[in-house]
Amino acid sequence: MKLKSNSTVLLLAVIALICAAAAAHAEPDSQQEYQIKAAFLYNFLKFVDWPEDEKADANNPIILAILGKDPFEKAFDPVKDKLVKGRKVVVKRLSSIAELKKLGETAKARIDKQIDAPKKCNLLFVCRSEKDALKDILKAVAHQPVLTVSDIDGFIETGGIINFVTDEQKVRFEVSTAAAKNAKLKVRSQLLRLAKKVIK
Amino acid sequence: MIYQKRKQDCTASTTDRSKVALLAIIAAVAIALTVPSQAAPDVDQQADEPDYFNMSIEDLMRVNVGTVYSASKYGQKVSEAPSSVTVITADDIQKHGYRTFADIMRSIPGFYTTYDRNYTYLGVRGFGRPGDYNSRILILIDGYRTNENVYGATYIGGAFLLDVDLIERVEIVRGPGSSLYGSSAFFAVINIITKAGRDIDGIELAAAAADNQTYKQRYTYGKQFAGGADLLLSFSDYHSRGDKLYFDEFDAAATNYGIARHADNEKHYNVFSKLIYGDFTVQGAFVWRQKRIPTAPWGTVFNDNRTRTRDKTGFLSVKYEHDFDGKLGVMARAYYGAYHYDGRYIYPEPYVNYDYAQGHWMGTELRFTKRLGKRHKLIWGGEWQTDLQQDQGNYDIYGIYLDDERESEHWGIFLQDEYQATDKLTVVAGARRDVYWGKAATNPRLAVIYKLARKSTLKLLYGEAFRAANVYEKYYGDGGWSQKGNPGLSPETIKTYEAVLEHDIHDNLRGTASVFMYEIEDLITATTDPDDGLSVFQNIDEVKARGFELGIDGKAKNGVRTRASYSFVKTENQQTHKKLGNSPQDMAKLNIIAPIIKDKLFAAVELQHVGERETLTSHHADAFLLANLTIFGKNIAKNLDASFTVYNLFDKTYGDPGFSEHTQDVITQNGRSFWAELTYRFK
Repeated sequence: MKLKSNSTVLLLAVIALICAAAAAHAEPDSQQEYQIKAAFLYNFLKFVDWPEDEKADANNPIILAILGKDPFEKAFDPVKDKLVKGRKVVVKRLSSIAELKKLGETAKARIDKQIDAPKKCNLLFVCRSEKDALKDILKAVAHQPVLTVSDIDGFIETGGIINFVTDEQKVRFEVSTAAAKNAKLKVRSQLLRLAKKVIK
Repeated sequence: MIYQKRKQDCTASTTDRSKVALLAIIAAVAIALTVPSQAAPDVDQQADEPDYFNMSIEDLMRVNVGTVYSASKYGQKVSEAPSSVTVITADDIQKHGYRTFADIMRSIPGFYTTYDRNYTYLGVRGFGRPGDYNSRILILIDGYRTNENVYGATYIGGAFLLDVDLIERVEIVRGPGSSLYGSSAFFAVINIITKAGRDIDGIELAAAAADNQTYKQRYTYGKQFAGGADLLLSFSDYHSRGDKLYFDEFDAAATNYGIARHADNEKHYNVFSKLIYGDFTVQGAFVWRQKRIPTAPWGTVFNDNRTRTRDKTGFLSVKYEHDFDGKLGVMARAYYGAYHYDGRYIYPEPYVNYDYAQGHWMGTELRFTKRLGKRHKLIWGGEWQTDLQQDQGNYDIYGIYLDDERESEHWGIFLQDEYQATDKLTVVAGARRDVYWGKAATNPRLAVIYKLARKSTLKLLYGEAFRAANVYEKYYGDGGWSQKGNPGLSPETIKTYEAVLEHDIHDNLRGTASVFMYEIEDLITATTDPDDGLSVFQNIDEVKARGFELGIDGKAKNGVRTRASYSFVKTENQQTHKKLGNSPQDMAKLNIIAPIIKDKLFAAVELQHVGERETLTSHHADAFLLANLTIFGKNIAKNLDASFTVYNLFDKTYGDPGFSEHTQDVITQNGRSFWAELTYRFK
């Protein structure tokens, strides 16, 4: 396309300038959607009870694992300084199901003897990248006290516990109390009340 | 040769203007970039970011994360939509002081408006056709098709159905949408999502005053009740005396030396209600508007303010939407709509001509969305509408010149598959078959969306669309005075090719570049029959348009929101090889919202450059650069917001091209004007 007039070139220059200015000005900001979801996950930790909760103390951090291609980036940074149920929250990033299994083994070896079950993690977030491996992942943590959360369509129907859905541009969630029961987790009513859908 | 010379002259003047534009834009950018840092130099950048970790789940559920519904009829992220999409939010509307839907649309890349002091017309990508009452752009309110059934129109100025303060979000989807939406989705589909009662949560009162004795009030009640029902009720009222206007075409002793007094008067009121309960949404809207016409169109008497148009339109819609365990989504809607227009045109005594149109329609639509395996997402459905009444008439005391009664029905079925071939490649293919007036049309669409990198998406889009001739184009005739009908009109069709590159420069700053080509056949065009001198619509033109758009859209951490765009388009009539009328070759837009005092006081600057537009007499309406400034104060006192806008800040004289009914070649627009508004909330 030929640009005929000087004015066109000038205007293009202006746009370029604005882009440059705005780009220079704008600082990287984690994607808002996952910032919100991170905050949701943090809240889930408060409103779900683990069998270990009674025994665990400040020395046992709550482990939040993210499996797959991590969309959260720096969204969990603020969680470093926060305590849930008097415990620190540790975020672990796992690239594959193999790492998830390994985490279980090392946890088993290392974890305080006071806690019976070999703990992989308290909360497992399954990223969209793991869509195809979903069944295997859920199998790997089946019958263990792991709160599984994802935003993959059909997650709770596949056996997951909490699934994020987007409803009119807003983040909502669905809960499967049946799956929570299998994992020996208790989802408090405050949380259930806010769920968009509850499967029993 | 004369054409060539004039072209050169105006190029030179455009360059001068652009220098001014350049300076102004640079100044605005400089202001936007410096103001916040001066105002709050010590504020930690992090503080501007909402601390989601300290928010309750209830509050988290209210945060908007930006998805778009319209492009595929289900919620998806803008970068995944198979179209070029722009989203405007309630926040933009409030902080820029937008008062009409036309104000919103003027800020959108590629769009422009034409106001003839009667109606406001919407143009896009070089198309703003004379005699087109916005029938080529489909405007939806919460999915309901607002275009009425006589002119195919949705009025975007004072006769717009909604008070823009009730808008939560506007999704503008460029390109044809006929593969999902059928007729009228020719150049673009615009979906307006309205607020819910919970967004108001109490009573909201707004009062505004502007120059020329203009006043507006709004009363809104909204609440979400404990049982889950959500209700919104709103009423708005506007009236403006209008300015004394001067038209040099009428500057003669017999026509008051070109001065029209009290002839720009406008009144309108709107009612809107929405009830959401469970999966059901019931909505009703109504608008009544009267506009006196100061331009003396169709040879009416100049400076006689009895010449006026009145339009009223409304609808009632019941929608059911349910998601069955994430496996199947169902949407069903039934609606009823009505439209009435009556025009009074004053001719030398004792002639008074009356013109009217009356439409009633009802219909239903059904839509399903379903995942098929892991990689397919299907959407299919159908629509049926019966036009119970599509009547037009024209008369005076001497006789009836038009008494045309029509009724018709049309239906359509559609299917679309979104196939995620790999993690990076998605293919969207769909088609819709419509039957209008016994004629069938099938419109396909194909989109290939490829993720080049984590932050870049390339979209290759092909689409076809059609628009069936409306009853106005087919049957309007006023007894040999100015216009006659053409019942044989065929639908006009368009094919479009577009490539869009979207790049996240940062997570909060998106750049978009798009190149497009449109090919239109059988364009329904107002022409003059040489045999009788009457205006008549014919399927004659074949038009090609080629262009590109560049834009950025972002929000910096310090709260500065920037939208900037440049668009260029060349339209060409394939028979005459001329550019279309009212078709600006280039446009540039800049919108900046900057907080002056964090969360308290905001300044919004808007700059719009519209290139020169040919008029019907092959002259032109000059290119112009317009600036609007709004200062918005939030909670200046408890529960009280205040807003002050200066439109046309530099008092630039500019005009929009007139149409065939006007003596004026160019219709001068308003100079500098003011608007002040207070909004109070009872919680």
